[in-house]
Amino acid sequence: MRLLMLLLFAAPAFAEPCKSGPQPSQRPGPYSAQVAVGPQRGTQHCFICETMNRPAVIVFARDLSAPLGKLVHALDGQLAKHKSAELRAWVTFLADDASVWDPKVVDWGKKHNTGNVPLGIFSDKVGPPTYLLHHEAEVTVLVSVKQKVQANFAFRPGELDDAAIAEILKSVVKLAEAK
Amino acid sequence: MNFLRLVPAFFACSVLAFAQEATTPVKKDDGKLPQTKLAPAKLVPDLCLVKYPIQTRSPECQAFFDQGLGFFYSYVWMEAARSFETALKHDPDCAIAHWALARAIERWGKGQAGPSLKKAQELIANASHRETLIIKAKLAEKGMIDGVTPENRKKEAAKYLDELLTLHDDDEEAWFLRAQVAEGTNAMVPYYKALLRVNPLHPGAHHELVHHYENIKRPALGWPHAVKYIESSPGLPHAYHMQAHLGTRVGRWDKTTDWSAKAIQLQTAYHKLMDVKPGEDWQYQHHLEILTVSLIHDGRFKEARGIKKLAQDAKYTLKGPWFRLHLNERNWAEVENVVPMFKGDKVAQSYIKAIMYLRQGELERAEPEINTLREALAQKKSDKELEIKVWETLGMAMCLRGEDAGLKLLAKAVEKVKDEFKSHAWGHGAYHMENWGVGALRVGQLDVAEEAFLEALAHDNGSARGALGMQVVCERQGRTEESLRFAELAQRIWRKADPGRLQAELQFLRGEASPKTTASAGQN
Repeated sequence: MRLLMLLLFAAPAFAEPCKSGPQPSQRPGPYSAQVAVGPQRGTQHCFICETMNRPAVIVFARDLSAPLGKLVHALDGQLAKHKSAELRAWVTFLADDASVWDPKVVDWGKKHNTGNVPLGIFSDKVGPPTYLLHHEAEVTVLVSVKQKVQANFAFRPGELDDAAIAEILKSVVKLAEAK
Repeated sequence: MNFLRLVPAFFACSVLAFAQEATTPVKKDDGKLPQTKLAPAKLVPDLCLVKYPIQTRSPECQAFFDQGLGFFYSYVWMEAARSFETALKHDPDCAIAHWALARAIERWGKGQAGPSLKKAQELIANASHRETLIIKAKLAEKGMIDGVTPENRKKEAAKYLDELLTLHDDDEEAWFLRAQVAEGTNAMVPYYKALLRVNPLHPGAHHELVHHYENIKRPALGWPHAVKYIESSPGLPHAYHMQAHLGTRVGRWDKTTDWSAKAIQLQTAYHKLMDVKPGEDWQYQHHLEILTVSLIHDGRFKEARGIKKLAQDAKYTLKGPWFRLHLNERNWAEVENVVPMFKGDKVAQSYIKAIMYLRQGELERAEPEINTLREALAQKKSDKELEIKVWETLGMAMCLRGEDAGLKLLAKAVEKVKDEFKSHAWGHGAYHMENWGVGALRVGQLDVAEEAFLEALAHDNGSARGALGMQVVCERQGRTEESLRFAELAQRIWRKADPGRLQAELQFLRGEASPKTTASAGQN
């Protein structure tokens, strides 16, 4: 009975989609992350600055999960497919201590074969302040072009599933093919 | 364990050292060591964890040898030489200790390294097989083995070390030395990494890797080595200093300044106990300078003034950092006092005065100084640093007059330095971006101010002014939640700042944001 009551009260809270990060038509601002995987490994790098007006998939994550690995592996495939559109994608993990997370991120990248998608660490679990990332969002995905967000996806723990990944990829393909 | 806590241990060791001195056959004069002309070393417990067993029956020789290595790996050449020569007092026939003394004297640059190496060669029969190969490697490198041509010295040295590593892959010195003779940008790295597999807390490998990753511009990869270097050398000031080479670049402001302060604490205690003059310690000035810069960055001006006093006592003039210190604490009288320190450099004096007057809003007094800079640039068009100074001062002046065009000059300065590795050393990466943001606030261009302050934070996540600037921008635009996040960030960044400093900086930036400013449409 107690469990049922708990579920009844909890259900509306989880029924609401998680709103996290800049919304469509807003600008993803510049920020730097410590690169763990990618040609800029060992440096603080601003991928937003480098991307400029190109189409991009910006992923923020607070955990190294298998579904996220699946998404990033799929994004790597999209990068190869849409080279001519100069599609960019990168993942920024939000963590307290980048030096502690660095080896974990490297191992996770190998395990999930994340290929050419750079993986970085932002040393603050809150994330870059202008992004207003929701504290419950385990994964936030921004699809953007010309420095404006086109689509925003946010997931609490356990919400990123195959259907959600397919939805994100659909949006990425649409963006890349529109260029 | 620091030097202050070691006083009793020092005295105990000192008594021991003097007791042993009476029984040694070394020539007794003023108590100084014959080669280095230094007083004998004292054993410092917990100085460094490194141990390298050598061919000697004297535990004292072994202990001073290990201590010498600890100093050597931290580039404290004088103390390394002193320790190695003291080791020899306890075992004058120890070939490897003569070899070590030669290396330390060579790096110290005082006295002759040759006789010690020659002595190591003469005594080589006393050495173990491992040590023989190590000594021969050095002899080859110095051309002291027949048949080694000048162009082949390093290769011949490498051959001896490769032989040693083939037979004994646990030999820490061999890995370190092999790295030192490796040729090519990254060639030494695999050897240092191999050494760390044998001894994960090898101070030499960690120290060298800190330098290497800074040199190849990948500071984050060096940071774990900086941390381990401290762990390996808990009593050595330089270990606490070295992390700043990377920590200020990768935004480890939570640790870097306090560790730099610890370096100075250890170093002053060391000077006192060993009767070393600041001028004899080549690392001291640099350590003081970097601590000053870090304290300024963190708004800890009172402590920075204390470090200034230490530097003055040592007869150092750190004019650049002192200018920044007094400028940031808005102590104009002290900034004025810094100007004469740039005696003979009219351009530098004009730059300082221009910045000082501009910060005070005294446009009329700043203008002649800016003109001096412009005239100097007209004479020396290739001087890129001067060009940036002209853009900076002229841009600030134009913004003070409310001219938007000033922002373009400030942005040009940003563009010029934003990807330059050297401009980002010691936490200076956000300087021009912060200026650009302040200028934009003044002329009421909030969208530009946002761009500038976000860039500042992207280049230095410890930019308090960047966070406060964004707080003001968001306040002006009614972006309450973001404003609160930036306020929290600024407080975190300047959590150790002098009381009231954060609020003063915030008030300054709020004042800069023109009352005419209106919320810009969206986030550009």
